[in-house]
Amino acid sequence: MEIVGIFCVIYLWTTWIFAPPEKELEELIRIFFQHVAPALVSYAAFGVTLVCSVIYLWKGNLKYDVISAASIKIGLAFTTITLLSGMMWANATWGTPWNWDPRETTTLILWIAYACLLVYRSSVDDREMQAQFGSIFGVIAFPAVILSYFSIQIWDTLHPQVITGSGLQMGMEHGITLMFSMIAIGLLYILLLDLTYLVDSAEEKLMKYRMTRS
Amino acid sequence: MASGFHAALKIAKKDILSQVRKKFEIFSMLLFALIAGLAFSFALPSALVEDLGGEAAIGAALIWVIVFFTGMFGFAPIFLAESESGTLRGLSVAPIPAWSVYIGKVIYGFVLMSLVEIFIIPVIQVLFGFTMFGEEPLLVVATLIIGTLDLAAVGSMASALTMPSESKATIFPLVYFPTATSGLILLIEITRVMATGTVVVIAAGLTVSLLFVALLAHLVAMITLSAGVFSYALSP
Amino acid sequence: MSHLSSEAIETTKLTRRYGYRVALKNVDIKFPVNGIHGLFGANGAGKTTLMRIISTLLRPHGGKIRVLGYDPIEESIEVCERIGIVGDKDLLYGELSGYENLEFYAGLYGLSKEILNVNSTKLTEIFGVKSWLHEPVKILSTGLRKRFDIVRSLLHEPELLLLDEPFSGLDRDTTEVFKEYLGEIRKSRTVILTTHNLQLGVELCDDYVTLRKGEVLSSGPASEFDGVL
Repeated sequence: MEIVGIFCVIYLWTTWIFAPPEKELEELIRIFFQHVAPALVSYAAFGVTLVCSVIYLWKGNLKYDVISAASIKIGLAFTTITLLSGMMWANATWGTPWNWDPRETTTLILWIAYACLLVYRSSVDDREMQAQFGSIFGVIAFPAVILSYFSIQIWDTLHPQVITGSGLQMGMEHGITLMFSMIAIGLLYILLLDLTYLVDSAEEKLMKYRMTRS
Repeated sequence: MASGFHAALKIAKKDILSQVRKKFEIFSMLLFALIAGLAFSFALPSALVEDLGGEAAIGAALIWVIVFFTGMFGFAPIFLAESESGTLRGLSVAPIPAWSVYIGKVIYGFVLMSLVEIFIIPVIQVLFGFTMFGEEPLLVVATLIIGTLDLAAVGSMASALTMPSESKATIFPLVYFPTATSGLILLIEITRVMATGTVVVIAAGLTVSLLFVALLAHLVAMITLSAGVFSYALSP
Repeated sequence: MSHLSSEAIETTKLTRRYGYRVALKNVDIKFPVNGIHGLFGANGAGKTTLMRIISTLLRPHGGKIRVLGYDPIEESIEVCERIGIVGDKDLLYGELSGYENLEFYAGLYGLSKEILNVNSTKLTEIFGVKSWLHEPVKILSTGLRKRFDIVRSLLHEPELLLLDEPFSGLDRDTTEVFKEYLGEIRKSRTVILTTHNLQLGVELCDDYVTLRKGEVLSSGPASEFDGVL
């Protein structure tokens, strides 16, 4: 896993040095690379939560619930990066960091939704109930992801669309950099998920040991 | 054994009967809605309303926001009361499918909120000086019905989810909001379009009927999703 | 899926966790059809957990269980049709009258109006609450509420009665009436009873199972109960 980590760092630095400044936006294009990949990976993370929640409800194996919870935390972190980088772009391009644009708003709703899910989970003391009802909530919360993703289709937004039906609307070097950033962030997600899972399940084992001793 | 929907109706009827006698929840919801309307009137002086697109545009959104927040506090006891008095066990152990308990509660929540709306919508229209029933009153009523059903579906599920939590009252808004917001946005858009007759934020080409279909799809999705997982809430 | 079983309840290595603890661990129990069976144990022994699994309220985390020949998870409707439960909290709706409560539950159990009236008349007479049928339940005393709750549990003529601490907080008269009723039905129905009042338990039950910390400690005829929990 450490190897993956190193690869990630290499790929990330590629985006900063390798890709040339774009015609209109010059250095600002760099923000684009820190924005798109975290956004899409956060959607995937919440998708993982959905899948693991369903599997937990079906099978009852707590392992899936630990993965589900870990994925929520990491997904939320990536959504934060998405929002912040989006705000930096907006400030640079249009003058104000927040415009209540549908894409911005639905992504903020997404952030709040999964933050609420985390708070909800921590408010349930019994571990089994936490997993059971946390999984149910994890399933119900997913439409927020769908809303955020399709917001550009539904509403008129200021949000630029570079991945349209006809293909990538950008230069070759940028396309490659985008691909690298996707791989890098994707790998970063898997790495973080794995680490969080290890830490969380160790914590669970510790709790279990403490409680059975008493 | 009673068939699922039959059982749902019986449960709804039982709750409505209890409420008719007790009256507490309905009155507090009505008063809350009125207070919310009042609070908004302080926030939106008439000059500001003019700037923001006129009374119709604001009023339509306002109605849904008030209904949304009244639901945030009115839907909470739907399952909580059953859980705390212990009677939920009676429903769980009856030979009825789990989803019928959920659907019964949704129907009850719908009736409760509809009663509030029948009172509060005329009041808001008078207070803010507009009408939301514009050109196609039937479509507006249909939207009201579907929207209220949608909020009741989400509110009932959220209420069920608060049961295992330690701080049930404070956690309810946190569960209700994320799941209700997607529907709320659609509702406000549709109502605003119908009230003002102009397309405000929607992309060109999207008509009201398309939005309506989206709202219907949302309702079906939320109810199916909730009813599907509900058995895991009744027998964990 | 056989319904031809001589056992009312049969569990094999039944397991259920409670948070990080284990509430039931590899429990093997058989309760035969008919008779009053005692389920004894100290607090936290797992009695209520077992009762809840039997009544389809909880899913087992391991092992198997059959109730009257049915699987409480896969065939929960069939199980629910045949069981009646009484716990420490009554399952009555305060704003409704006793009759309206019974009418509601009759509806859930698919009982016709005739059966509802026949059974409610008969049972409310036995338990002495007939004159209170049309008062809202919230004004009734605890004793009367409990009696109505017992009527509610018997309304659909269940084969299996699950009584979790049914005598706690009950006044002497109600306890006597209930004991008498149980004595009459012991030959034709199965009753599983948990109680902290061991004297009463041994007096009423035909046989018993004792749980301790989620495992079976001892079992046998009630006369042989050694009082060890």
